[in-house]
Amino acid sequence: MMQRETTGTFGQKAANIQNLVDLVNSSDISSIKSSLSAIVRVINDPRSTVKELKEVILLDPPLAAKVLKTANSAYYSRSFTRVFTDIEQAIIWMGSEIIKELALGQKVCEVFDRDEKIETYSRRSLWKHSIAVAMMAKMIYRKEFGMKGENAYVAGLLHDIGIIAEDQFLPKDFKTILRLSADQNVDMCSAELQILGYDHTEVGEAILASWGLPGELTTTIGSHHNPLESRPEYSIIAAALYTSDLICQERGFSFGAVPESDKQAFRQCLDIIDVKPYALDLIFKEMTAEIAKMEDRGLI
Amino acid sequence: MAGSKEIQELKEKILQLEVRNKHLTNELQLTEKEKEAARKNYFDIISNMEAKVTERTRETGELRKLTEAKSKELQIMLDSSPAMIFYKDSQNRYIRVNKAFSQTLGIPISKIIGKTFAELFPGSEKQFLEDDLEVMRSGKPVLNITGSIETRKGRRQVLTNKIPYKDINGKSIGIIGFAVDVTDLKQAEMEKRELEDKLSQLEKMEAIGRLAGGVAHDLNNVLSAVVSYPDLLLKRMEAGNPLRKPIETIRQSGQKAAAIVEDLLTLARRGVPVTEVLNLNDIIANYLESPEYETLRTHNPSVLIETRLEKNLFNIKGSPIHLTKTVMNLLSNAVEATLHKGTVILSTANRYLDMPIKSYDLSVKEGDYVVLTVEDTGIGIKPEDLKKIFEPFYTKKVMGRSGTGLGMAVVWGTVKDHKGNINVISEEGKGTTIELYFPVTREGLLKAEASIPFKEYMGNKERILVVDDMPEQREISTTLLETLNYTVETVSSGMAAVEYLKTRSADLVILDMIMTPGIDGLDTYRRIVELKPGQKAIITSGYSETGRVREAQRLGAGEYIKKPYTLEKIGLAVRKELAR
Repeated sequence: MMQRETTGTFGQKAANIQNLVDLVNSSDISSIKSSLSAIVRVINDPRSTVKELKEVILLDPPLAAKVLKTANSAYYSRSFTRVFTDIEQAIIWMGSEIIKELALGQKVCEVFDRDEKIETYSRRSLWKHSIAVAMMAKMIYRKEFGMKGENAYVAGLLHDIGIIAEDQFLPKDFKTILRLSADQNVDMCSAELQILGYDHTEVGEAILASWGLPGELTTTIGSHHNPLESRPEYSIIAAALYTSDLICQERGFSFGAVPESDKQAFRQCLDIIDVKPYALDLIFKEMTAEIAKMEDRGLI
Repeated sequence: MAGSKEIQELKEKILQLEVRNKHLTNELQLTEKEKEAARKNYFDIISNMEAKVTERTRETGELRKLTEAKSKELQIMLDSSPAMIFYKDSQNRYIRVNKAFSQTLGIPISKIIGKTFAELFPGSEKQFLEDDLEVMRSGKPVLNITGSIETRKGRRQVLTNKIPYKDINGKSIGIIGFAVDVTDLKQAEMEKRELEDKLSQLEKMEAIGRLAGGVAHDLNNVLSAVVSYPDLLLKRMEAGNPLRKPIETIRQSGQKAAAIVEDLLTLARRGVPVTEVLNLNDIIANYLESPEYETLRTHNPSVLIETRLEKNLFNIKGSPIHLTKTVMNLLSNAVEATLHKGTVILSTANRYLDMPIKSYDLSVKEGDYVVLTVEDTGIGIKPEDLKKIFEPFYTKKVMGRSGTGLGMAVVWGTVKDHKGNINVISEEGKGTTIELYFPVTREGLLKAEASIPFKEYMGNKERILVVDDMPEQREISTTLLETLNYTVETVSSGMAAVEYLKTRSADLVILDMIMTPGIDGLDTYRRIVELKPGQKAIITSGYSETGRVREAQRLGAGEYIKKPYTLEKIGLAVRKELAR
């Protein structure tokens, strides 16, 4: 490992990341690619219609089935007395926002499915963390900015996909990283850099870029541990994601890795998104309540 | 400063409320936007649905047209089938039938639909209904059901296949049936089988006859010693010699064997030319004077033997030896059948057959025949034995009673060699009638008959038109009439006669009553008298005088003469009609 560090050049590192991306793209994980990017495309196209969303979901029959099942579950159908038998009905009655969110959640969840515990890490806790971050980021957008925050939600769901890739395709290194992080009490990125010469933010960015997701998402995910270095046009979403990630890790939605605690960066991010600590607390509380309800209904 | 702390707290509270206010306002706004979007989507979908409904309505219309076209195609297919095809629902009601079905029953389709078989044919066979139930219950076809139904053409045999009619889920909802009228087929099959039976019977008898004949030749040589030497021995023996008795027995047995061999030889001589012109009455008369007949009479004093011989019996061509044997065998069989008590009638007759008739062997073709009939009031023959009576050595008599066992075989062979036919009518306990049909010959006719002198009915070249569908009859009539000095023209049908008389005339028309195909004698005469009122005519037929003959005579036709006609009969009739 140290060898890689010492001999690693910039070109070597890019090649290593590419190797990992190739592994991901020839594995089951890439099966979420087409549905995922299609939903993201619908989200980012202001002229998109219900029909398109319906078609995107129907193209993936297992997803359509899961969406219907979830839509009919107690959590979502609390205000509806009817049973949805097709996606179009569900979209009309529940609204396309909820369905998009539901479809995304179901889709991304697929890559977190196999539960495996290493040290204090487990995919299940990583998935719960991702949902929490996604929801938190979305709520910041909605409550503070009066915006839908759908991309923030997607970014939250996918921000740690690099960790999944490492966990699945570099299991030995990944264990070493976790142990190293725990033993030396260093944050995960530092451990990754030591062992691999790159970290999961870079891997995530590369995977999602290879799937053709928009720059806003890839850049934001790529900079989710150093949001201040993100591109100026994405500074708000980067700050929102960073804030959500940090707050979730600190307050009970961690996945077992040692959290980063850069108070300076955190405060700067709060400034960028202009959210009062009280408001953040309030949003966190509501998010926690939602997660608890979903967990209660067996959705997480 | 307490006040400033409170102010600080209040400020804090206000700030918090502001945050909450902001959050709620933002959520409200977003929700309203989402609601708006949802409503827009909803309307989009609704209007989209309207378009869909229009589209679907159009599609349904097209589908219906297609269905109608397919239905028409199906009906054409169903109607093209010669078989009767029908669909029934689970209540046995007809829901669809084809043209053949409706036409066969003679009921319009509209009156069949919705009815059950029992409703269409009250009192009909239950069988049909049971088959339906069976098919419905088992869901399996029932095939080759035979039955009969009443149709426009009368009672017909039908062969029916019934197949369950199932909906798309495989549930039986009725039956589909195919029925074929097999009446003609069955009839034809039966006739064919009958014919085949008869043919094989014929072949069998021919074969046995040939075999028997072959054996006879050799046997005869062997027998001569047995027949000749006893006489020689007896001559040299003393009257009281005790060996005389056994030797006499040997002689008797030898003579009996010789008789058998003789019959066998008669059979073996089958196929000798039967070219001699003879009269069956003469054959019978000769036989009645023979010692054999004398013996028969003396052995059966209680049997009444009657002879009814037709005067002016036609000649036939044949072999006198064989015919004599035939008469003898038939007569002795008949006498024996009476068990020495009863009546036997031996008769001859001229007979003309207008149409073929069925007989014991093959059917007898139309034409002129001499019929020899031997009728007894004896024990009769069982139906199952009837087939075998002409086989050599077949007998129902207690063995050894009499005869050689070849008598009837000789009769059979003789009749076949004379191109004749045999008919046997028998009823157990009542008696048996055997008729032999021999074709008539016209040769030697002139010298044989003429009890009234010729010249009394000779013609004077008067024109006579002979109308007859049978070529032989036309030829006979021509020969006879030309012999009698008439000018003869012939035509083969009633219509041809009418055509003939449109351009020409005849002094007399000789009209056959029964002509097939085409119009008969009466219809012909009706048309003739329209053309030529009062046309002189003679009606002829093989049958007895009928209403149609009398009708023709009422219209002006003259004498009716029964076929076959003799020179004298036709000559006198023609003279009489011409003089009328």
